[in-house]
Amino acid sequence: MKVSIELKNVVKRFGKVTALDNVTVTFGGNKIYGLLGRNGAGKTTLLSIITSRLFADEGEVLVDGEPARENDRAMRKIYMMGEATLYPENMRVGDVFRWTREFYPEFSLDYAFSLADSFKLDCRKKVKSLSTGYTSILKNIVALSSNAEYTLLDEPVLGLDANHRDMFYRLVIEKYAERQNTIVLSTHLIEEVSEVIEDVVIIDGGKIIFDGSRADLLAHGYSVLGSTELVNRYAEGRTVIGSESLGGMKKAYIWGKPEQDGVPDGLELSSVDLQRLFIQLTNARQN
Amino acid sequence: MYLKPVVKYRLCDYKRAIITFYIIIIAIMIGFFSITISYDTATASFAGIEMIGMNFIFIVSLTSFKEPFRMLIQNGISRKTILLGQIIWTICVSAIMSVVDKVICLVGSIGSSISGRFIVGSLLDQVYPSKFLPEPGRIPAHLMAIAFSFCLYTAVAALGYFITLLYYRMNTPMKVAVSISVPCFLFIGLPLIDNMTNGGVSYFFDRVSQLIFGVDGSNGPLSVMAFALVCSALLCGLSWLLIKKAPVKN
Repeated sequence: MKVSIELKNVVKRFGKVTALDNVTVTFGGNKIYGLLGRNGAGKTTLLSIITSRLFADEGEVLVDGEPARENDRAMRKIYMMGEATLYPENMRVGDVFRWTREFYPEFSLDYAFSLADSFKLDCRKKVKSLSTGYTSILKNIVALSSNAEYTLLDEPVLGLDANHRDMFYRLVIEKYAERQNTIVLSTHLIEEVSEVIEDVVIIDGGKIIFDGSRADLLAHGYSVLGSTELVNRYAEGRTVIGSESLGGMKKAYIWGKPEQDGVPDGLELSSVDLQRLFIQLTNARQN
Repeated sequence: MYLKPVVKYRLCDYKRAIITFYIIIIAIMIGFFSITISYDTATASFAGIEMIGMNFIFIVSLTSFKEPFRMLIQNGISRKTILLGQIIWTICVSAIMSVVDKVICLVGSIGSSISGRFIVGSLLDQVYPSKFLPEPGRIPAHLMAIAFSFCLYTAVAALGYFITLLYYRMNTPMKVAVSISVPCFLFIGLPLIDNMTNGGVSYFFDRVSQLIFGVDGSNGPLSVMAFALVCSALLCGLSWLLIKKAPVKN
């Protein structure tokens, strides 16, 4: 049996806007994925189609090899923490935990209450009375406690302060170490998740522009710094995904692997961090 | 199928509302009974208690889509299971309310025997002459009353659910158009047409209702019960068409 979520040639249109354009991607088993994209890139649409919150116009979604669309068994392998809060407004936090256990038998009630305690989330409060940050915390706690085979977290740190964000990322790693399940972190805050994720899927304008390991992505990009003339000469015949100029100096971001030897004098080659690479890649597509 | 938690969630969701409704009904009945006992000139009549129940279940059904739908989708339940859960919920709630209504009527009839000015009767007794009904006070009569209210409750609940689902799927201009045009047609258009056709519309509805209620034939309440069940099934089918591609709206 395949252990994965597979999207095959998925197309989703909203009127004249194509939110997902022939997307084919696989979230294989037991990894932490970063689904990265700018605002409006199609991240939420993609996750919503996986969980049948929206339906694709074309293509199909398979969970462990079986069609996911309106399939209870497939859908219950996935817990999605979305940006929208779908719990009843008047439901108390503790009741959200209890009811989720009814639907996800693997849900750990003790773990949920202990996390709520750690985050100082009052379990007697109603969902509607929670702040944006605490609403995110509630949804994250439920997602992490669900023990679903696939946990999809859409913008999980929305409204969280630095301490809570740090706590959350540590919990994700702890949970992954304990369960070895598949976690998809969808976010536009790349710098924060760069140390957490193993594989990266970058979506831009409804298309997947990169799908591979983080290490592979980082190995594919580098920067070259030097005088504008030298940099321009070096860049000829190479794929330049972006550049920055200051005075007579220029820094170009190159897509490809740097040569091991023969770097011209006056040029400095260096690696690029994930966020910088993401910015240059998505900008290059827009330009 | 993952129906059990869905039905459990739905029943728990409205448990308090149903209990509160019956507490109010019983409190009102006790209040009026006390008045008829205390004052010689006072009379109180609770004829057709099911009508209040029908209003209640209709309103409850009108509010029973959006919030449960969002909660159940959040918890990985398919739309098909959500609708099946709603059907089972409707059957359970209709059955419970029908039995409770009958019990209230029976207890009320004890009150009637104490004070002749305190009258409690079921809708069935009000609508149909005795020739259509089993012998009063016997088990078949009680079962008939329960089955009669059950069928009506089911149809009304299915209608409420269908209407709320229809509104959920409509965009705002459609909602406005329907909200204005339907009442206009019912309260202005139909009377106008009735006037222009010398009571043709009234005659038509009179004939249809006689046919549905079975008062001019030999079937009596069985006719309306069958009609209610067919309507329930049709409305469930239409609800499926509406829910099967319903998106999650914010």
